[in-house]
Order: sequence, then structure tokens, then C-alpha cells
Amino acid sequence: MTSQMVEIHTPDLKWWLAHLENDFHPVHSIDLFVNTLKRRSVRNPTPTAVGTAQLLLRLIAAHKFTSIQNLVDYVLSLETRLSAARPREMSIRNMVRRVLGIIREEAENAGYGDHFKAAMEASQAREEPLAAKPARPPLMASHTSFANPTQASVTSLFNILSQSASPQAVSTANSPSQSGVQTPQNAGLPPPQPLSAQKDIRPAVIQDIRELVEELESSETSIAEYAPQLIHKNEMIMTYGLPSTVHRLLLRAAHKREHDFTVVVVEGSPNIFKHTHGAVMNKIPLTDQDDTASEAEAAAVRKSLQERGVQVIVISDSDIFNFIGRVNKVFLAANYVLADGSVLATAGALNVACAAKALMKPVVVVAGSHVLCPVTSYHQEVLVEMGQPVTVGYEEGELLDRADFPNPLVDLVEPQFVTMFVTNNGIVSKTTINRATLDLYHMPEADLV
Amino acid sequence: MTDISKTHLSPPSSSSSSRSHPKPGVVYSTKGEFDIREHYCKLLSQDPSKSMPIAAIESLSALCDATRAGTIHELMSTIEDGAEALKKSIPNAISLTAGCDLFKRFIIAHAHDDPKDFEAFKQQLQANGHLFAQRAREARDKVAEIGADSIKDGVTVFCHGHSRCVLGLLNKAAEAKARFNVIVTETRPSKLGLRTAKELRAAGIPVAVVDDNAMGYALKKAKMVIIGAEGVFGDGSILNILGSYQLALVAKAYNRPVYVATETHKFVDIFPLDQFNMPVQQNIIDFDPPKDIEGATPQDQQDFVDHVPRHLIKGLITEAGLLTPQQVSDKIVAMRFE
Repeated sequence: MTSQMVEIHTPDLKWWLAHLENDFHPVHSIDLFVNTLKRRSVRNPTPTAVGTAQLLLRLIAAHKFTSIQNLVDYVLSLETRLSAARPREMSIRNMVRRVLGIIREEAENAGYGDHFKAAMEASQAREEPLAAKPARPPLMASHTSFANPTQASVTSLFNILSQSASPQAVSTANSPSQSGVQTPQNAGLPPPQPLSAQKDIRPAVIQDIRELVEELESSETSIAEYAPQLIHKNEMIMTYGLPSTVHRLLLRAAHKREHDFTVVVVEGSPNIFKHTHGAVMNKIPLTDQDDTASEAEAAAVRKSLQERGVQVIVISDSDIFNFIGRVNKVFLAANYVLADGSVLATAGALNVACAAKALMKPVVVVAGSHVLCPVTSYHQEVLVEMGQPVTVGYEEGELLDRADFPNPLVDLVEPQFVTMFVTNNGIVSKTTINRATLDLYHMPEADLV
Repeated sequence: MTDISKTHLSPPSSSSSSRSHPKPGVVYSTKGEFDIREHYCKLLSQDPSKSMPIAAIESLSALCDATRAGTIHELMSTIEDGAEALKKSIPNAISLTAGCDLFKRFIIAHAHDDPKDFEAFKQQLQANGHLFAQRAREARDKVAEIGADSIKDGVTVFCHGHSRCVLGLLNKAAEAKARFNVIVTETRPSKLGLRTAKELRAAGIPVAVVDDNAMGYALKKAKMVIIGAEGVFGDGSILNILGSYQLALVAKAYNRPVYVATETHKFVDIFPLDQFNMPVQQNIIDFDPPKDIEGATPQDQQDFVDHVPRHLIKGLITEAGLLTPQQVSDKIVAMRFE
């Protein structure tokens, strides 16, 4: 987000993908990616999601797994390692979870659904003794929610009366550790057979992960397809900055001059205004931000908003309330969307959301499906990440001695401010975003972090 | 009005036997009669930690034993009659409706597992009877475990009334060495808040008891509200002790989150419109009070309830996780298709 870094070559997403292409190593590459994440040289939801998915793809292809249990354990251990590197970058976990969902689906297709379930439960049981609070509790929830995914969301309601099939099952149902899971059906499960005896589900899993990567890459284009439904003639749209998802959407709406509309762009100081100014000129500055590289390439060949007949107005953050009365709707790009519909967006977006709420303007949140997090929290403020102060430099030592300059990078926009979500899978109302998110990961309920 | 003033917590008084035939709460059949209301009240008074849906389930289970039904249809109709009689004889039957519905659904789901062996099914039902209470306790522990995360060091929690789930949750947080304070209202007329305060103090948690009138004054000093629930409705709204609605409104005004700690067996498929459109009889607004009573109507009342609409609730802490009212609604509607 900042441009204060000295011009040194930092390993970005492009470098990482080239590394995977040329020098992939099943063990060292994980360490390398962990370090890359820790240094924040690959960051922001989309690049981390792409990086993680590509890594998983190669790791699963490179390893020989003896059983589904083995495969599940391996993926879960990866989740722990990778998300520990950047707990607040939730797209890492989202990707691992999508891959777990893929494994489950393929296991079921091949008729090994029970094996997957057993594997999840086994790994959960192994985790339980360690359940003593970890040093960094948030964002590292257990994988319990995966344990029983086929029994729709209702099972828990019936626990209290669940029939005990045999006396032995009664005794397991008695043990408190099992209270959340329906034991009887699984009690008589055969021990997991080696994968050699099973049909190898790996090729199917790898194919599905490829599709996931493709979905990631085409996410912005798919979102842009909804533009004609969202933006109409002579409308005035306010956006906070011009993040590439929103930019694409606007360009699509202005395609072939189908619609004339006006865009009010809030420049978003201090963190994103350089990017905003660049985007307005259709020239993305090549900062240290790695998702801008591909954006810049795309920008070089396309027509700008202005060339497509859109009037662009750039205002500073202090003018939001001044202009909000004139606009028809507000578009915000989400960094992450939590299961209850809360949105983490670039710091400053909350100002726009509040202003829109005050004047009853609809707020449309644009979010690719990889940023939908199956996560709820009592204390969502812990998800807000602080960055380095950008308004003061080191030369202003005296000022820095006298005051603190906190710089939260994201705002937490509560669901009450949001009207609807646009994802690459469709337009979702805020009451159903929860269902949409959980379905995406085949989870009966969200994780509490 | 005497019927209404009789609380479901008190054991049936001897005077009820003098009432004309048929007696409320008694199931009559060709195979004799069974006083399900008495059984239900006995269960509640014997074990104060037992919740109403569980007592209802156990009563129905006992009814099944007593009537010696020979076929599944007979069993079903006995259960229907029993549930109906029980609901009619208790002024606020919402919580036990949840239990009765669960039991009925359970029978329907499992009775046809092995149609030939009806006797074995009945035996199994009997054998499982004791499990219900235990599973309920487990559910409550799970709620406490999930909810305890919400209590961070230094917060002040506002409580109202007496809920086993909330107490369990706060105790769990205290066990985990969280340092927090609790403000609890007296909760008149039942004064159940005093019981909460006593039990929390016994656990070493600093508690301030405030007058009910001080809700608006005191809530500003609290960070969050946690209340229990007697029943959770199909739209995600809840039924809880009188004063909860007021508390939720004040909390909304101060923008304090209201969490409801409850087990999922209290979910009930009823969609109430508001306070006055619920199957609850209570005589709170009385324009014709008994002579020589100046204050509010019966001060010894234990069971006045309030309906808290969903838009005032931030989340429900259940053993199935932290749910939004919308999710609760989804789950309750999904139950119909089981």
C-alpha cells in the first residue's frame, strides 16, 4: 500500500509463479512461500489466493498419498503452516478450504465419502488434546466444521434425541468430546484402506484445483458481466478509489457507449490515492504492489473510462458527504467478506458507507468468491491490520517523537451498511451471503475465530 | 385468571384436584389416565437445572411407558394427546412446545426403522430416556465453551434474569482467567437477577446488581449484553424473561451488541408477530386489579416473558456455533424438511 520502499527487487507474485514453474521443490517451496508471505512481498487477497492455489496444485501433484486420510492430514498441516504466516490474510485459508472441499467432493464421487469424514474427524480428534489456547488464538480455528458436512445444517438440532443404535454407541455418545458429532453412523466404519486399494482420486482433485485457479483468474471478468444489471443510463456512481474489480465493472458498463454515466471517485488518501490517480488516467503506477503488474498490462491495451464516454470526477476523502447526495449508488470493493456479511474494505470505505447509509443510498459490495470467508467473530476489530504511517516520514523525527501515527489499512463495514454483494457467482443479497459462503466451502457452519 | 397466575414452576397444588372433570394436564385413554402435567412439574422441581423442553421430552417419554401402546399409531396419538394436554395446562407453553415437537419428530423419524419390532423400539425409547437430560447438559457446556470466547479481559457484561446458559458461559470465561465484571438487573418481579448475582459472586466474578430502572443508566458502562432464552422462534427472535425487550432496545440505542446464549433444543417453529400475538397468556396490563393492590400486578410472579425481535439481536450463541438470527431462521425452517 505504501510507496516509501526503496527500489529493490522484491519477490512478487510473478516471481513466485515463475519459481513454481521452474524451480518447484515439494519441501523447500513451502518454506519459501511462508517466508514470502511473512515478508508481505506477496500480499492482498487475490495474489495470495493465486499463489496459494498454485502451490497446493503442485504439492498435491508432487506427493504420493497412501490414503485419503494421508491427503487430508497433509492439506490440513499446510493450512496451519501457511495461515500462521499471515493470519489476517484470510484468502490463504480460504484456498486451502476450497481444496479440502474439492477433495471431499471427489472422495464422495469415488464412493469414499465416509473415508473423508473419518479423516476429518481423526485429525480433529488429534487436535483436541492441543486445544489449550494457542499463543495467537484468532484466525486459527479448528476444522470442526468440516467434520460432518453432508448432514445439512440441521443435525445439531437433533443431537439431543439422536438414536443410539447399540449399547456400544450409547457409550460413545456419552463421552462429552463427541457431543457435536453424530457418532452412530460412523461407529462401524471400516479402517481406511490404502489408496492403492481405492481408486486414485488425485487426478480428479488436481483437475478441480486447476479449475479453481481458472475461476480465480477469471473472477474479475465474471463480476464485470453483471455490470449491465447494476449500472444504468445517466446514473451517478460513487466508488472508493478505483480498485481493479470495480474498474473492470465500470468499463464493462461503459462498453460500446451503451450507457452514459458519471463516476465519482474518492481518491482515498493516504493509502491508495496514487493508485486511484493512476487508474483514473488508465495508467496504473508500478508500485511494490504486485497485483498492479497485471492490471497495468491490461490497462495499457484497453480504452479508458473517459474514452468510453464516462465522466469521471475525483474528490478527496473530505468531500464524501458533500457529494453523496448527488449519487445514485455506491460501489465498494471488499478485501474480505465474513460469514455474517461484515466487509473488510480499504480504510476509508466506512466513511463512504456511513454517508450512503445516512442518505439511504444503496451500497453494492464487489467481492470475488475467494474473499468470502466462512468465519465469524465476536471481536471483528482484531481483523483490522495496521500499516506503517505514510503521512509522516523518518525525516520528521521530532513529530514522530511527540505523537503516534496509527494507520489502519482496512475498515470493518458492518452488514447494516451493505445493500447487496456482487460475486463472480452472482448477485447475492446480504441475508443470503451467509448461505452462499458456507455452500461454497461445503461447511455447515462458520468457524468462530 | 387463577389459571394464569399458576406458575409452571410451582408443583401442582392440592386444590387442582378439586376441579371439575376433565382435569387439565391429564391424558385419558382406554388404558387408564396419566397426569402429564404433574409429572412435568415434578421433574422441574426435582432438578432445578433441568430446562423446560427437556422436562417435556421426559414427560412424553414417561407417558409412552405408562400407556403401553400396542401399535405405532396408538403411540403417536398418545403423544399427540399428551403434548396437547401439557400445552393447554401450562400458561406459557412455548418452551415445552419445542421439546414436544422434537420428540414427535424423533418418533416419526425412527419408528419406521424396523416396523416389525415395535416392542424393541419402545424399549430403546425407555433406555434412552435418561440420555436426554445428559445431552442437554452437554449442549449447555458446548454453548459455554463457544460463548466464553466472547469475554475478553476488561469487559463489562450486562445480564438480565437468570439463565443457566449465560451462567455457564460466564463461569467458563472466569475459569479461563478472563478478568471481567458483570452488571445484572434485579429483574423484578421474579428477582431472578439476584440469584444470578449470588451464583456469579460464588464463582469470584465481580458483580453489580442494579435496579431494573437503572437499565438505561448502567448499560452505558457495559460493553455487551448476554441474555438467555426460553424459546427461539422461527424468525430468529426470542422469548425471554420480562424486561429483555426493554434491555435490547436500550442496547440498540447505545449500539451495544446483544448476544443470546441458548441451546438449539429451544428452537421452535412458531412465527410470532409481536408480544401480543404469541401463544402465551400473561396478565401484565390489568385494568381491573384485585382490591387493595396499589402496585403492579402480582409481585410474586415468576414467569412473565418478553419477546425480543430479531433486529435487536446481534448473534445467538448455540452449541452449533455463533449464529445470526437469519441463520437461526434458516435452520428452523430447514427442520420442517427433515
